[in-house]
Amino acid sequence: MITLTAVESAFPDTTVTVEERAAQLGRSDVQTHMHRTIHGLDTMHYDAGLDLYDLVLPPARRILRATDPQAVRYLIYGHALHGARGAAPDTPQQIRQRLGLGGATAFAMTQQNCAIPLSAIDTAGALLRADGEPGATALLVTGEKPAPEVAAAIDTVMIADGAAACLVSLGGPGAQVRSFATRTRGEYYQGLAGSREDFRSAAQMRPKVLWEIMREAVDRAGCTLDDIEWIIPPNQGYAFWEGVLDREPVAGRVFFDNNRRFSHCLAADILINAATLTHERRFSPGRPSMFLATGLGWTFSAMVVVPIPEAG
Amino acid sequence: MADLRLVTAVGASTPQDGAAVGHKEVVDLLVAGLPQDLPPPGLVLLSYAAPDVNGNQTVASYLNMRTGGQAHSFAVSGQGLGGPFSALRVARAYAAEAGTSVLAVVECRTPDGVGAPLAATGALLAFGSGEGPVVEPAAGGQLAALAQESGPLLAVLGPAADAGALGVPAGADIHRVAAGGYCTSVWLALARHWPRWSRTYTAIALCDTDPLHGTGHVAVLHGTHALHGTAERGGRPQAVH
Repeated sequence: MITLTAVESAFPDTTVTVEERAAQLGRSDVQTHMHRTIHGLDTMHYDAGLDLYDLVLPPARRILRATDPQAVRYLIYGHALHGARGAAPDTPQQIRQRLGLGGATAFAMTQQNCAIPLSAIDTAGALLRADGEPGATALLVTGEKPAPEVAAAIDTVMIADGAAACLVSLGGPGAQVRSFATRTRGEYYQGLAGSREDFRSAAQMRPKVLWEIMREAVDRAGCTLDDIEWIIPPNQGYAFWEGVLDREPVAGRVFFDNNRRFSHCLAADILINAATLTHERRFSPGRPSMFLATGLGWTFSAMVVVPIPEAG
Repeated sequence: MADLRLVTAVGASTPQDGAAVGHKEVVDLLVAGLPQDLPPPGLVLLSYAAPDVNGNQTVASYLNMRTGGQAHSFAVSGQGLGGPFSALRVARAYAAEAGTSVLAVVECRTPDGVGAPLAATGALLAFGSGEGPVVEPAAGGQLAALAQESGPLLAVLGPAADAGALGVPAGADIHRVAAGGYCTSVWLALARHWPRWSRTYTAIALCDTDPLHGTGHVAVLHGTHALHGTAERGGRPQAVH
């Protein structure tokens, strides 16, 4: 069974308020008010001078200090932004080199926008299972540093600095992945360049598809939505989840704590939130939780994970 | 682990004269060449070495929609010309779960340090569990044994492939792909020549060496049979949005 053996997150030291970040992004007063009151943002980490590798390497290094780097067979860089706005083509190779993982095959997974980490976890597990090598692991690295004009153009969210990594293995300690459900609605492939009608119909379609994949994920995991301890979505703002995460049977069990303090760190959000819950010991061992991911384009994914009690 | 077997291979090439040709336009040409009776895939992979000219379009999702809309889809990149080889490894890992899967390798631009492509190109491989050849990633050291076991071996070498370093055995026939492309080179050659090669060889090795960092990559097809539906599409794409 696919296991998340370790998950870590990291942020630059510099913290800014919604209003300070809004000024950097050129947002209007109305937009700024919306980010604070409708989306529920307060502060976030952002350092204009920070290098991409200074952002993404610390959580990965923390994981590698506690594991055998020689066992890492795959280094997967999961990123949301693609095309010329996204990561440079050699980013995974640079990460591999800087982490000293010369024995790993490094590549990027993308084109699900912010939903990519769940597919990357599942793919890492599939590759390890296919290879059949005992003790082998895969390291998933997330975190992006879009150019200011790119961050400014994505005006429905406030993009902040944050990164996370997780170590994937088969068996062993950690959180077991019990199921994965995903759905892509390719008619929305134009993303932010879509028409007004595309956005309208996507907003109408979204709750139905989210419920479908959430139910599919718990069915496959052999549990129900009532059994789920935490629903763990990305930090895209409260408004995005209306009609789903504010409804029974999941309302009140959604992990929103990081929304107001970290804002949206693109594809890193879910692993950042998992790291918070892990380090604050807020997962009940043996009780299922659910990662819930969405990405422009549109892809919707749900994954049920069960933290396993530590031996002894 | 289930075998990954080739069902069909489609190639596409279109000039880049003025209009910006992107991954979507290449995908449109590739999908037009797919057989009508291809089952909806459970896995759709897009692979490229350099990003699309249009960063808003999620072309993996678009390819998913064009091939049935029921697949788990994403892109595999960031590895130079090795990306498609890793994507093949991913397709093999999901072979049992996915049923039918498709891998589109597309190229409209190249990473810094590699000459610009002469044309926008692509190759689409469809996999399933039928009677086609088994496709799998390989290490260069396996090719000599493959030639001994399988009979006539064709080594398809990318423009910069180092046959010696990749372990291509002395007795293998060689097809060297002409310069002008980067990550699509050997895959497009396979799509173009597959009908003839499958009648002549029982094993084919796709071999390339990345000129950017010297890394070698090998994939093999063995147990070859004639395929249906192989085609190459060409022409002028629609306007870029």
